[in-house]
Amino acid sequence: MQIDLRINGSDQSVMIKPHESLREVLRRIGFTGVKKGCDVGGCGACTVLLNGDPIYSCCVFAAWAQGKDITTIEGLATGGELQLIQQEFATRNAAQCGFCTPGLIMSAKALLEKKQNLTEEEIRRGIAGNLCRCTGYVKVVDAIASASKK
Amino acid sequence: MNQNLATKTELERISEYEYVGKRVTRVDGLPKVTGEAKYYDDIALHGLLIGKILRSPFPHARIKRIDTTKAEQLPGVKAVLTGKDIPVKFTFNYAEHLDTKKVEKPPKEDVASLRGLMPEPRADKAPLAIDKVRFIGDEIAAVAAVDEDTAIDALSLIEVEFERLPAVFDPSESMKSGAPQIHDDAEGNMAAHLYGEWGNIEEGFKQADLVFENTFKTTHQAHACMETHGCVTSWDALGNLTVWTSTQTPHPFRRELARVLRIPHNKVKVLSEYVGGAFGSKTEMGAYHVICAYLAKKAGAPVKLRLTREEEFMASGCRHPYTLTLKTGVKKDGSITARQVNIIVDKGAYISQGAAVTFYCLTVPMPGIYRPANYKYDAKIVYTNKQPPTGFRGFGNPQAAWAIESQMDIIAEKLGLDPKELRLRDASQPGDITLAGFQVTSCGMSECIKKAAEAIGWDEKRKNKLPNRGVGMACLFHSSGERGAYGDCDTATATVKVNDDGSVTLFLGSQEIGTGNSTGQAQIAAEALGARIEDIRVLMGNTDLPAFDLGAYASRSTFISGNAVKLAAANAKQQLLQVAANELGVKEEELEAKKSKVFIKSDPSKSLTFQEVGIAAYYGKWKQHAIVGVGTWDAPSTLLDHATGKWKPPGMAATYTFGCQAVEVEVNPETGAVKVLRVASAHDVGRALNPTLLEGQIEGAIQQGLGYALSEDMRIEEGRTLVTDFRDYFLRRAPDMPPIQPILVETNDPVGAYGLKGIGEPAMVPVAPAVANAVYHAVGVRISELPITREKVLTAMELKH
Repeated sequence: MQIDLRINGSDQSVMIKPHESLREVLRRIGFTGVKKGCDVGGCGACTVLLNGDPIYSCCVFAAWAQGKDITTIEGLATGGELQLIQQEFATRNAAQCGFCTPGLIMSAKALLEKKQNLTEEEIRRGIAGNLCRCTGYVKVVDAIASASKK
Repeated sequence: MNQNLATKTELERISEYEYVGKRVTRVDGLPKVTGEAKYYDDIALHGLLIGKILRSPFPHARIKRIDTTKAEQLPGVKAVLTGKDIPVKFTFNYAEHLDTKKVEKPPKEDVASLRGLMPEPRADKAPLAIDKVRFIGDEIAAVAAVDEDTAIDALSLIEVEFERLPAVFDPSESMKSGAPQIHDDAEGNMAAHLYGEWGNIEEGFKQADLVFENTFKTTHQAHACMETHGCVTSWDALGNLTVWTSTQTPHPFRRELARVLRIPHNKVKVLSEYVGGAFGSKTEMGAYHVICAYLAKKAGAPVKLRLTREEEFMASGCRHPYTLTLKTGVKKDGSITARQVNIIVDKGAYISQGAAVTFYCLTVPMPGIYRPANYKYDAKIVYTNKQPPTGFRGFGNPQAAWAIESQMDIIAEKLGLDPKELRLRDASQPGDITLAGFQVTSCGMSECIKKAAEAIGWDEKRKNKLPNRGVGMACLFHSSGERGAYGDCDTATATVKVNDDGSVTLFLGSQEIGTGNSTGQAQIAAEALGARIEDIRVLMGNTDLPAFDLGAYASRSTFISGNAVKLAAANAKQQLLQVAANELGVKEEELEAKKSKVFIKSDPSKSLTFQEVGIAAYYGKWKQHAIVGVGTWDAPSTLLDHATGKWKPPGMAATYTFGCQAVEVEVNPETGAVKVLRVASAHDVGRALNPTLLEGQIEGAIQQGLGYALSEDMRIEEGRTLVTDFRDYFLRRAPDMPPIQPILVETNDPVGAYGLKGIGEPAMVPVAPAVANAVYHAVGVRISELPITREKVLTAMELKH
């Protein structure tokens, strides 16, 4: 079936199978920054924003995302200009292997949109849905805290 | 001789470094924060097929018949394989071709390096089962199809007739006579038996005032890399194979795969620029690599094979569970006269790196930490019908530390000593030679103990204990590198090219698996060449580059490859200065380079940019042409001496690392739940090349260590791995993590580039026993079997009352 998706501000017509997850469709059409760490909403590597809210794109049917604003990691930097949260992740060593990073940044982005000057507890709760096996979350929390103060 | 202290002139020189010791931003950060970084699963190729593996539903069964006819007839299926299509057996770094009976041994140096303590490697694993399946998840057949749905459908059409065989899951049962035999050529299911004695153990126990004997158990911990294992394989018309994969060891992996495929190494190109976590699980070739290459060959099209998370938990390796019985003799002053260890390793169905991991445990930490005077060991590595564990950050050391460090606190209590005091008395010192023959040069163990204790508030908290609160500590001894993992070498080769515009390309053989190695190497290259770091581009993860390395394991990458890069940069610099000297009409010795500029030392106003030198070299009259510096470095370490069963100093590695972790916990007396309040982690890093990256290594290792301590267990019952995804495998999430204080102790190693040591694995090692010791301090119960669950703590507390 054919659906219309609004991804990072552009409308796209995509052929999908009815049971395909949003993650599979996004990856298939080139948004490979949406990572595949599990298949059941356990790791958060596939996190994208749907109307500004972070969701596990592996747990959402692509068809269900019709008519909603989808933001992936690829949609953050505009004209080569990184967003603040991306800069903070890059300069503070918040990305080690980098596989969970896009999902973490999307969760952080959603948090930062909602509130400034986040407390450490708010940050940790806000990224509780994203697993990272490399960093122990220390530099990740630092990066989000720093972005939240700017 | 105290090489521990940096000389004054050395310290003065360090202060002049441009990049060494600086918090340089990662060179691979931007592609990772923009989503640009391409991991193997992100590779798109025209006509790419999807591969899937049919796995055994039974822990032990004979395959009586396989019929793939229906699967082959399904539209969209392009290739189906079973065991008869891949007549080969393999194990780590070793393959045996069943059709020609040709044994593809590693070069004799490789085998020689292991002889003595280690058994000859035996190929025990077929990529696809040939006669039997030996664990739930064992590979039986594989398909490649136009999409994932078709591939999954095709698997369900493969008919397999099994004859169920009795299975055995407990290694102590598996060793008994009459137990089901898992491999025909392994009597008593013994995959390997390692034993030996250094010194005189009986004499050692006689000299002891007290003897302690305790048993400790560890469990199956999953590596849980965020990126699952897998690869994309593609053959071209000339018979060249390209493999995009996630590997810690691109060069040795190329050799392993080429040997199985019986093609020259130059026909296999391994691309692995981004690795989504590895931690030891991606050091060896997997069955899936071989299967994928064969599928692509048969289908005549590229194939991607990615393990699902469930397959990852079921069949991609994990940490070896050990049962360790540790007997230690001590004098009243705390000195250790004898250490004897008996280990039973639950090896699962295939040996993989089981012997190597246990060899490391037995030869590095066991006789290395706390200076035992006599030592005896016996480890039985036993096959069971369970998933086979593999190498995992620490490589047998976390299991050793779990036993030794838990017992140190038992000993301290009996001797009436503070656990910190006992550790300080027995700590390694510069100039020590361990029983294995390892030369300790730079060593900050005592300082690590003191600093970790101070950071956690040790003295105050031991003196004025609060109810249900406790502090505990544990130490570590590890190597930077490992000679003998492959052959008589521990080596790396790097190339530094100054381009025709003065920009620099660093061709790295060593691998970036997320640790920041490539950034550290760029810092070393910039420092040694006198270039600006922003002028350096690092290329790695590609076996076609003019570079070589054994891989990212044994905490060796920055230590071993750092010296190769330093030499390569020095070599390129010499060529660069030669051209500049000609241009400026001076002698080379009069010149120096800094920040991509060459200048006359006595008159820095007379200078040339690297760009000007590059143009002069490539297009000028000096006949220099390309500026290409090559550097090769082999650690001045030694192989096991077969005559003595020990090493001649300096031993397995050119340097050794030390550390101490202290933790504070609070135990809930109602539930038994352990809350870790804070962790202080002090490490002898030699020289902190990049403090930010080092902290990252320590902080991440503590996440893994706390999981190992408290919650990570794959719960394998009757051979079935009950964990299938992250909802039932409990990794520490952000809110679960306590504050961590990393402490970097600098000892300026005499061999490491700019004094550095390897720190990839160490911080993982002592976490679990530090927590157990803190729990004991808090509520007086000793948990000797991992993980320290609330049920175990509560039960132990109830039994105590």
